[in-house]
Amino acid sequence: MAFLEIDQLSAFYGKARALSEINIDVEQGDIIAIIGANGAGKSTLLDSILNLTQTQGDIRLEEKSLTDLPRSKIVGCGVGYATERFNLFPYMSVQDNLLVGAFTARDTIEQNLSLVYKLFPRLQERKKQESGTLSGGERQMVSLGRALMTSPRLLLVDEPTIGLAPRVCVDIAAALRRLNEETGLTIVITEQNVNFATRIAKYLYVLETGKVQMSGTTDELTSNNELIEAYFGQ
Amino acid sequence: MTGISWRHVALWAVFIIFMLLLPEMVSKGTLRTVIFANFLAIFAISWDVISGRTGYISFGHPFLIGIGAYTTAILSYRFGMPVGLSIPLAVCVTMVAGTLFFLPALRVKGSYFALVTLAFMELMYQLVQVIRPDLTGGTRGMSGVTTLARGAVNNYYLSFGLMIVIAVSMWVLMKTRFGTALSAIGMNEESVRGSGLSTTRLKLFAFMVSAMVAGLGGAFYVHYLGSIAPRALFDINFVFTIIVAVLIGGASTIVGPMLGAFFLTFLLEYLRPYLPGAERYFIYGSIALVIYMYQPKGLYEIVMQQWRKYRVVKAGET
Repeated sequence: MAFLEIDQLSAFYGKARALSEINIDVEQGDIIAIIGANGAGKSTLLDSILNLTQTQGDIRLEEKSLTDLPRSKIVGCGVGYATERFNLFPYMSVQDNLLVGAFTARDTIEQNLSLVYKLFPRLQERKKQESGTLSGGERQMVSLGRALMTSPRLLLVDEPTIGLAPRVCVDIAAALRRLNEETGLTIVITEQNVNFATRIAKYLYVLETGKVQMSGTTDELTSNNELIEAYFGQ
Repeated sequence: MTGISWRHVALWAVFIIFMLLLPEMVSKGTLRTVIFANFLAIFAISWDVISGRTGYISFGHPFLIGIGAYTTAILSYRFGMPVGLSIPLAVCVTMVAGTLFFLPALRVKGSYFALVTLAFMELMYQLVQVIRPDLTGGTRGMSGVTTLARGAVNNYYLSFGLMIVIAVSMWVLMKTRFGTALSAIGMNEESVRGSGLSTTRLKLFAFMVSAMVAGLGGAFYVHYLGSIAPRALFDINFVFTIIVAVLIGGASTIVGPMLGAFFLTFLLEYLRPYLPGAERYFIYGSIALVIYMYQPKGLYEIVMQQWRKYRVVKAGET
């Protein structure tokens, strides 16, 4: 049994179908990346795990079904969600932004806070600064930090590099890899930036119009001419 | 709990001591103005807890204030219940009404929520006139309601005591993670949900707290005035005065609404000899607009900016 099992998952916005019968297995301690263009359904897939959309099918974390659980329970089960960086609380300090994530993991606040500051020392320097005044990369760090404050065992990260400078993308990739290596955290990332995804993920899933078109290890897919042509433009 | 320092405690202490000594320094006429400022501050704080924090703008706050005021007035005046019992009961009833007030927030947001709350106030205005006028006093309301204290000084201390207890408790409550979460809801409710928090529970608690404060304020206000009239209470100008007090002072700060309430009450009072009619409201509206355009975060932020500048200068000197 895989750590996270997504079984025949379909998602809907009203009558419109956004995902069709998705099957994904994630082993504990792995980093996987869901890649695809805009509108492929990547964010919908992560939203579905958090029960933010209307779904059919099943999602299980360590064999426990998440599909009918309220969001607070899902987060309580150990699912942390780093949404796009635009979803911060702009007039609140960096530290308060992080503490909002700590409501469901009150016993480990200090421990989680020191983990976040260790991963992103820049956030500690700016902990009293309003998050709305941070740069794009720093906001992304706050978004990741807030998800880590929930004490996750599974971290979902939605397009962490969108609109960021290449140098910042490298920093984010290094932080995620370090997090995975040091804590054994399982990470699911959605990305359009294939270079970034292949740099950190062990497995890739290619999503197109709500369906998984290709999947495999990073090595397998990066040697796949079809994928290279579609996403690397070579 | 985050961000409470000895400096905050000292500032509150200085403010309380100053206000306790105020009757020795000003006339009784001024004290009566301060009494109204105290009550406006209570109503503004109540509004701030819901609307300033969560962003659910209420145009119907007099609905909650009115329930508190009418309940204690009816119980004490019509049924002879001691005020010591009728006020807590009125607060409980207002909190139940607060739950009712909360229901639209489950489905609607923004301007729709504001309109629904306005409808609540209008409904209450019509109901108190039509349903059991023998109890509510109908369109005329009630006069001769028991007063709690006599004279400007006693009433001042009573209203100030109530205001300061409410203000400090709300200020401390908003410094907890509950307050942080409410502010977060106001900025990005979806994101709060994504962090695993039940925004429904948080909002319900905020509405109950706000209703409790509105009920307390309304109940004490009617026992200060000794009368209640639906036209004065369920009036759109009353709503705007509460909202403007919060916006001028600084929403989502607790201290801001207090500042705004005092500023507004004294502004209107000092304009009275020069502009006795409705022109006063034009002037106060203009001043509010200028302050709001200059600093949308209100007087509180203006004071804080000066304080920060002072600290920078001080640090430069040393």
